[in-house]
Amino acid sequence: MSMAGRARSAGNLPAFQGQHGQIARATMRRLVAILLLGLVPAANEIAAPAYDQLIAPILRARCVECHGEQKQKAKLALHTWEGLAQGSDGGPVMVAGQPGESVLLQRVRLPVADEDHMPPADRPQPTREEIELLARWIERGASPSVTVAELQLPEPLARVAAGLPAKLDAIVKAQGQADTLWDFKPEEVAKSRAPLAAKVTELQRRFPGALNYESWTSPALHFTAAAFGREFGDAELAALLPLRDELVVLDVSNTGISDAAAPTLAQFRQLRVLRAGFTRLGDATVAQLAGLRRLESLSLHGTAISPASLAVLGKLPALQALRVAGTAAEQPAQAANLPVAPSAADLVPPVERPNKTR
Amino acid sequence: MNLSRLLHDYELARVGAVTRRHFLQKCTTGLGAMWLASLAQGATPKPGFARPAAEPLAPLPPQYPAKAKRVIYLHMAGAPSQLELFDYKPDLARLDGQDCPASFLAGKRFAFISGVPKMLGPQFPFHRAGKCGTWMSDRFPLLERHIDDLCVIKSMRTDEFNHAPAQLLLHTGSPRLGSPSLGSWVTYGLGTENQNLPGYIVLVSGGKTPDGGKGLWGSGFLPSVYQGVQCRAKGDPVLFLSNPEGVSRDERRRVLDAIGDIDREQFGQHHDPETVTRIAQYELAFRMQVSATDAMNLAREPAEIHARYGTKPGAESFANNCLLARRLAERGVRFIQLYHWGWDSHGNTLQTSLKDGFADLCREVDRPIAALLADLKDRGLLEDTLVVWGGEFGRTPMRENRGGQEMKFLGRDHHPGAFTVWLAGGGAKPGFSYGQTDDVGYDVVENPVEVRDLQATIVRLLGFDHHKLSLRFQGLDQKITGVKPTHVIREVMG
Repeated sequence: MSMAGRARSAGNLPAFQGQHGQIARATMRRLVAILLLGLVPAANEIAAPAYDQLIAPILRARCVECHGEQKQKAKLALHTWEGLAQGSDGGPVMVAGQPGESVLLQRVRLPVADEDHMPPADRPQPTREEIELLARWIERGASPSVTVAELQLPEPLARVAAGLPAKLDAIVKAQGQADTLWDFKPEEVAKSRAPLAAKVTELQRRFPGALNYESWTSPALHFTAAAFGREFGDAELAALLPLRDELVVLDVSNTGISDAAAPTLAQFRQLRVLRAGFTRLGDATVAQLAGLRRLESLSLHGTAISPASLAVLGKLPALQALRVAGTAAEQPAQAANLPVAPSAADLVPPVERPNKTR
Repeated sequence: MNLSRLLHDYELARVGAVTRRHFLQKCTTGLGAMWLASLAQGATPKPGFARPAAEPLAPLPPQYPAKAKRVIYLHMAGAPSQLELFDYKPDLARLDGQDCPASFLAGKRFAFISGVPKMLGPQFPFHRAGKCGTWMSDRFPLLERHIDDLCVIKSMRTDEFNHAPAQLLLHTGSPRLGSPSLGSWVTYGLGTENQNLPGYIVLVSGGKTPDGGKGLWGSGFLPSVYQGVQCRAKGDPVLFLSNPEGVSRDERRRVLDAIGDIDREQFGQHHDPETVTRIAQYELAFRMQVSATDAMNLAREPAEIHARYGTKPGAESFANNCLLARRLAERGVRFIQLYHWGWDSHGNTLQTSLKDGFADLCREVDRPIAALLADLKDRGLLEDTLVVWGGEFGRTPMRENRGGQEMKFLGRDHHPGAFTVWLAGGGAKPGFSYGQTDDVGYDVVENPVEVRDLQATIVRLLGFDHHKLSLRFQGLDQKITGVKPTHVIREVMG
């Protein structure tokens, strides 16, 4: 079967249902949307070109990572209308007025498991509504000037379309932070890391294996003292102070740090994760941690903290996981509804007789 | 010592080396040149994996910010029956004892089943567990307490139905020997956080090593510094780690310095990356004399921990290895691979009977796995440690009838079409069950996960696009997932 044929047979999306004879309900939905969500398109959005308002954002979120300004796989660049109109090295990807004949849609509508399916299966996929919007826009001529109003979108789709630009912008932004780093530019990364680069190198030499960037492109830093044990003490921790604005994960469990480390710890205000179990830290340190407003995970298992610490811990605004197993604060923390899980001692009762072995 | 014999051996070695070198020198326009060119090409790391030559295990950041920083992989060699543990099939119970339908047998090959076998219902009762309501049998009562942390994949598939190739496929991406293992790829990509221990440690729980052999933790065409180091639970954790009698630590240091000088000179002449590996391994061994001995010393754990894991001092047991795994994870080891054995429940002996040997094995691993998860959680480590549990394939919904005969015990044959693997921690979605098999658990009918999909997903949880965790070798960008279409299973990522 030809590719176009396959695409047609696979591409008959179920029609959007329920738009007839339900005017009252639709109006109600509209009212609720206006009141609660502000999602109904404003007049200027309806009058805006559909390309700017909907199509370009869809392509930006789903396609331009590989077919755009940075990369033009198959010589296809979808970051401008002209590029879309021009097509790829295999010919046009769009036939104005005929969505079924447009290779772009044919490829998108193939089953994800098909080798020719776009975007590649392991990349985020467009939603059913986004595909329908592309199809309608092509059907209405695919010109850069046709307005959203002229697409005459039926109700459920219109509502989705109204919220779409913001949603797609968020996707593009999230990709920028995490997933679209195919084109990794060492020189730009170096620039963002430059202010601390010399210090980082120095500390990496002093603490082999311990200090690392969060990702190929991130300037954020992780530090773990896992290799050093009790030899890592308050003075060693203080040596990390120059990293205070970039350190987001710090593991000093099983080290020799004490309450004398508190003033240092209090300055790592970017920390998301702090592990300091089986150390000599106590309430005096916890009292100084109130400023760690980004802290999501805190491990203080096996330390000398008492229930007195819970007042501070309960106020950490971002805290999602607190580990206080084996401390005097464990039971009270559960009672106070802090985010603690049952500890190992509760989950796995001790064995009564040695395990049967072969 | 007999000096003349040593000199004789030295002369032999020298003559051998000179001959090989002459051959290559003479062939600078032929074979030797081709070999050198392939070496130069093979040794080029991609951007993102560049390290100083002398620090092949230096940590590197992942491509993307990642939840998982390390892996503890619990492999149940022999392949445990999914139908007695996680894949609940009430219809199979109804069909118990009936002849297998011909449609199941047409065109299929089995390791032992022949003729028309009988269907075999689940041998243990199932129930919904935890808040998430995941189905499981009564065989893992302690693990059940963690069910809301597990991500159970019931729709695994593999291409291989014999142990060694299936284990190789799972751990190296190829059913044949010679490809780098997952742990090698991961230590190549991320290095390790503790420069005094190997980045990739393998612990085998006594008895039998897996059928796939040591190739399961080999480094293939990656530099051999990335291969798994098998540690022993008693005596020296690594053979010959201690200094021989009469050799002090200072003396050992001086010897290593001298050897290092020679090796570095050698590297300057020939640029063989294996020379660097050699230097790094000597240095690591020297540091390990102190740190590995400490890390592997279970006597340092309090009695309550031993009682929790059910450890037995001095044994090479799975329980001991689970506790070691926790100690190694705490110390920043990147990839900790455990092999347990004996799960090949054919039903031909008492040991491979579902009602006997299999049930014993379940009891043997339930406690240490539950204790390991609980311990990791207590310490905050489960957040960034990905724990993986599973075998190399599944088992048939039919009762094995070796040679067409009814066997003495109840057992199941090898089955590549469906099996269960679970993930916990490290960004895997907690309290979640993914994929479905058909009414008797024979084939996957929803959300199939190929072995390479699982590998790609593990690698993604560690922060890499599996296409990027690669090395050019023999003209191909090699990667753990091979060349077939592969899907990262984003649904199982939390």
